[in-house]
Amino acid sequence: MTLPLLEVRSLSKQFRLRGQILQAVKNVSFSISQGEILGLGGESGCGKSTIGKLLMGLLEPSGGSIVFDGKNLLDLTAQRSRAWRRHIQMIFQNPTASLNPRMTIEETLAEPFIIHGLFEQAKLARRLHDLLLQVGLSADYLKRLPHELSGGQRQRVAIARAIALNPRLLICDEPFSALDVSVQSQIINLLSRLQREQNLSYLIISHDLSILRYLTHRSAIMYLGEIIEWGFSSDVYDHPLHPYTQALISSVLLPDPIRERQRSRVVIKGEIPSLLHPPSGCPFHTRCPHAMNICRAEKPPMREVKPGHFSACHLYRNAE
Amino acid sequence: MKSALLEVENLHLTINSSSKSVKILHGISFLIYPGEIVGLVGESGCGKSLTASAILGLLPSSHIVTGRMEFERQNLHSLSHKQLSLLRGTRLSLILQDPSLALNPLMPIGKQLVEGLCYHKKISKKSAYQIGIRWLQRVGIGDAAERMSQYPHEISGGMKQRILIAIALICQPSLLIADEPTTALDVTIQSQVLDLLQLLQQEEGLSILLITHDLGVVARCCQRVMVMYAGQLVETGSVEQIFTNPKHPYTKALLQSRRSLEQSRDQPLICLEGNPPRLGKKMSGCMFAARCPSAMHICQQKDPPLEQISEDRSVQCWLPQASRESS
Repeated sequence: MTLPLLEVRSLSKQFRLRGQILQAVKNVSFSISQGEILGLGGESGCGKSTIGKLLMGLLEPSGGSIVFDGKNLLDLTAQRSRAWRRHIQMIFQNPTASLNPRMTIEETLAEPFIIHGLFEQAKLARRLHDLLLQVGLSADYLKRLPHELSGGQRQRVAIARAIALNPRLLICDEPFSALDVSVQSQIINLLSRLQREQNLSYLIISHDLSILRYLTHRSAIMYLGEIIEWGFSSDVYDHPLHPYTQALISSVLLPDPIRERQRSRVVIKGEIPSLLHPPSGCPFHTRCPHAMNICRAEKPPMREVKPGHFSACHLYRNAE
Repeated sequence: MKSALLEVENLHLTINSSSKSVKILHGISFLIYPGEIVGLVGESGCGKSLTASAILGLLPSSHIVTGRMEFERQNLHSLSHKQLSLLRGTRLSLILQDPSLALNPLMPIGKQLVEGLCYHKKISKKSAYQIGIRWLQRVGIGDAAERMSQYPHEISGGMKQRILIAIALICQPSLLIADEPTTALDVTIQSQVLDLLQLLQQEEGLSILLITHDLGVVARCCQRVMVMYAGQLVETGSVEQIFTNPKHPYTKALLQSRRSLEQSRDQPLICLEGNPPRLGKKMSGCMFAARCPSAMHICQQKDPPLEQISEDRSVQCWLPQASRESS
């Protein structure tokens, strides 16, 4: 088996909040191979964006390791780590906030080349021109400022900036949620074309399960800072194992009035507990329709319930 | 024929600034009947929220609203400020997208909940609090009595939206305008809030104008839909008609670009190219012509006529009936 491009082992992140400990990410492990699209799904506050920031080096982990192409990024000095990080780039949710309003598109796109010293004046103009074409914008946009562009066009520029230095891994944190539906589809098609053309790897962080199901090869679902289910996306979304995943999927509305009104839904009561006071045992037991005594007392281990399909749930304790 | 609760006819909205005036809404007409949920869908910036604000009379004086708006047989234009503000709290109500912006962070929840009740219905504080506690229970909030003294920062987003629903309904209005009520919420909470809205709508016999960009929300809750594009209602009809037999190319494109959990992964998503025009951009002809796959010469020249197909079905498009059905 080939070595994965990125391997994350027992990654944890704690924040201190007025003397209390908030465990935002708990013992999370996953890997991404070259050319693979991994999805990270879950509701707000489950820790998925924190993972993105930890991978980018924007936050320092409290524990665990991040191994990229055989190197533990956490062992590197700041300077060496910057050179490595060239290979990992990020796209954020809000393209308006992630572009400098006073820089032209040309300046924005040239910045990565200047920062990393990969700057050849003669070839740069040509490269910026090509970059815009790659994301479906014409070269006319180079001289414009972000406010002259629509939201979808700004997100295209953010993607162009992210792929400027030919990274190997792209972390996309909710790249669609600030966009209109018709524009979302354009960006989804763009990301999937770029992935095919350049054999890029993506980590897509999203709360929109229909996008994750369409775009990703494998998926992990998070709840209260932990991964509670992972596997091939076709298994996770079409045959979910964990009651939380089942409830999430059944909350996704079908845009078809007849079937939406006929289908039976798994309704879960209550809201996400506070990360400051996480429940004992299984984190989901307070809302789970199948909760048993053991769920309150003991944290379920991650089990391979079906080949390649893992779930941390006591319902499957006899499955092994 | 039953009589309509809200009648909007030929609503125009123009925003005047010192240098220019911009037309935002271009002649919107619709009816809302008692006890129905009507969806208003469209992409951001198409004028959905401004339509709501125009009905509620919440626009500043630089926004010029013309057209006829009748609510419970009263002409909204002819009402004084005082009459309108009485109507707004008691008969006509609003919930907004972001529940954390809609609550006063410095005031306990209970006080905000009963404020309208005390003001409009002139009842004692004590009995208002009793009614308030009952409403918190109705919207599914546990420990209601204790919650009354808490502040907004102490509760979650889903709970805030439940409280806003209680605030909106406590004076028992006949029409609720819900502007993207679940957009800021997580999916499991969205599901709970939509269930709650539907339950209360049935119990109270309320009408709801549900503004959303999400066709899934429309499919789940609405009886009728109005599709808005660039300040115009391009198509209206029952949910079944719109989803199974859309007539306007924009409605068709919107329906084609919806995603679901059943999408095949092997095919690219069908998407509508281009962007909606900016509000107020002056264009001749049909607003959608620039992105329309079936645009003809006339579409760029003249505004399409509004064709009333049946009592609750209309479409604004140049395409002749025949080609529309065959395409």
